[in-house]
Amino acid sequence: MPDNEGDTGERKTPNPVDVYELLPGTNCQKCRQKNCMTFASKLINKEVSLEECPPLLDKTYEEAYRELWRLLKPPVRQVTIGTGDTAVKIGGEYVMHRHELAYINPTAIAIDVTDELPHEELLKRIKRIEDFTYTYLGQKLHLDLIAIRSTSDNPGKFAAAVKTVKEKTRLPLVLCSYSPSVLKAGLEFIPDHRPLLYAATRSNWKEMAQLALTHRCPLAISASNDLKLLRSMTKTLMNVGVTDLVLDPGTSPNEGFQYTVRNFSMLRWIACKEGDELLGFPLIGTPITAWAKQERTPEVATWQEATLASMLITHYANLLIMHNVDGWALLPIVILRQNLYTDPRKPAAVEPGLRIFGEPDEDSPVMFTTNFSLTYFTVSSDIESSPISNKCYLLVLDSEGIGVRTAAARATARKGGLTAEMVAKAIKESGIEQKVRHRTLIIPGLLANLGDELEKLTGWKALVGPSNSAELPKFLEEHWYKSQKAPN
Amino acid sequence: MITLQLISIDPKIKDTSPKQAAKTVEEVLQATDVPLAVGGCGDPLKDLAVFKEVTEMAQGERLLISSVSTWMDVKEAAEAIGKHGHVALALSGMDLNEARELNRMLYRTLPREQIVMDPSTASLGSGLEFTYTLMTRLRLAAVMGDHELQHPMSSGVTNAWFARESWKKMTPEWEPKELRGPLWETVTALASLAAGCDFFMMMHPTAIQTVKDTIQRLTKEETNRPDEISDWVSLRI
Repeated sequence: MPDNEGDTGERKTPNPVDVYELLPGTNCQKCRQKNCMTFASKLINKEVSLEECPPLLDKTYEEAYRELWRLLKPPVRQVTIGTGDTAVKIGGEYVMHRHELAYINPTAIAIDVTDELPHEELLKRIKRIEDFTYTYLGQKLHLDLIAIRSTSDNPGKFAAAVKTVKEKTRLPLVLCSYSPSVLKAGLEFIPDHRPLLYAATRSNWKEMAQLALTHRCPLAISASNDLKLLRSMTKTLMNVGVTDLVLDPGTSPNEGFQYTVRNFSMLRWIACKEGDELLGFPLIGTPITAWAKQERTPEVATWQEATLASMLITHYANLLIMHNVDGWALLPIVILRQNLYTDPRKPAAVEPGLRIFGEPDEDSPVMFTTNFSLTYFTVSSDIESSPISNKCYLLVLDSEGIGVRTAAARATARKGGLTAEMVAKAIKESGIEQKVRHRTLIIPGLLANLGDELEKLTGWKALVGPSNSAELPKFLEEHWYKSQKAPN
Repeated sequence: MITLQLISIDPKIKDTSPKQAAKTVEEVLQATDVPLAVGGCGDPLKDLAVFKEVTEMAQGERLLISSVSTWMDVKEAAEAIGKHGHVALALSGMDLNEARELNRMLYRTLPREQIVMDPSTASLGSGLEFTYTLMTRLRLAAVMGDHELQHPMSSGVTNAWFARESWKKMTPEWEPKELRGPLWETVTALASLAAGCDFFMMMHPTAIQTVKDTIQRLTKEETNRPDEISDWVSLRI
């Protein structure tokens, strides 16, 4: 274990009273909260920020403000790479486990290029990285940074690569070389871009610190499987004024992976549970090490790289450096990241009610689904990405936030779930009967057994739709539009 | 292990009888030496009837009966499983208290060593975060001494294939789906593994192999020194 210098001791979540006592206590409501106590509780839950309290920003409260900032700051420092609207924030985490609060800044993904890539290939690769985008639940998922590796170890070549990349992309950069003179040559073309410098080691840290200070860049520290060394280096670098640090304890792709998992877990534990400020920094994982075994086929290396990335995301990595740009391998990774970084405190339900797509008329199809947000966004994005998006009605039922599949399982088990009565009530309340002249409701395939009862209750015809909303366009084409009017 | 899903017993499919189902189980038992999990169809009345028949027929085989939930008569299911020496897979609907409640009901009839928990598995891209966080909470509570949650956990990783991105033909940049799908299942399994899961019900051979390799790597006895990590910065790929 590291020695005991620095601010250690068990880290406790601050309680609202401690925070309240430092606030102005005027209950002025300028923060738009009921009173200072409410503001204090919300500060602890990260629902508001200190800057939303105008009196606190006054000179007279300077000391209290600073004390509050210290009390509320995340145990893992937030580090910004790049500048402007494409800048990436990593770290800034408060907790080890998602359910303790929420994860804050999604693990950033950097894809590599090298300074020995032929010009055309370099351009192609940059374009591929930039173009990577996937729309999931209404959100655009993409890759975040480009890591330029110096495989040549030649300052001139590295500088040329940096220049090309800079001209072609606005994505933030990671400059990778253990040679300070190589990094220095690259930095000359991007003096104010705040790239992440990779990396300071036991032998080059002085020159690396100088570069980081001159260009106000964040700096990575590499010390494979050596947490003691990492800690003593952060201490040294903090002492010379480099405070935006990122730690790389090494990613072992093979037998040593258990050490990697343990190192990442220990580092995050020490930061979050023991409050050791010298290890409270974002962590870098390098799934790219999967490519070190040259005899592998690209598919095998890509497969392993993706599995390493997924394990690193579940083990607290804040930045990943990867090589493959294959959609089949990166899609599961960006979706895993999205899933785990959603805020568990936010309800998983959307507002129930009638949704109108495009400009439907009185012959347009009427469908229904549940208000579990995953279900709703899946169905609505299937509708939006298809030709049916210009005219249809979707009735969103209040299933108390459970999905169609669970609702169906509960109905099968005779334990509630979605009942025909609920659907009947929703039809009445939505006013859909005044909007369409037909009386045909398309019901989710998984709820086919609701059909008979629904018809009895409402007088509507229940048309059993597909079990998967991806098939809705095809279904409507065959069962609705072919007859040019509602199949009544 | 092998999981045998008795889908034909589903009243909506073939509605085969408990006797026929037991016969199928018997045939599979005779054909294999590995332990067997036997799954029902999800209809609590039919499943209970089938479980009674199967547990009696396979007396002493210590089958994993998948699954017992509060939707069925837990007492009757537990009695059948206990009397004939099998193990209950206790399925709850993604809720910590429901999982605890079900265990309490089972304790009245079953010894603790005959209970495995299944808190429900949502696929990557279809609610994985709920499973991941619930499993983490269950396992942390168990190791912190909550004795009502101290059971091995099972994950129905095959659910990964419910997510459309696992099987759907997509535009070329996301293909081939023959790799994307198995990776989807693998990543779903590895998330459950990270959350503390002990038992994985899976489908694709490559996904199974990767998860097995990973578990072996993580649980292998430590050597004195970790292997050298090669220099990726200057690596020519």
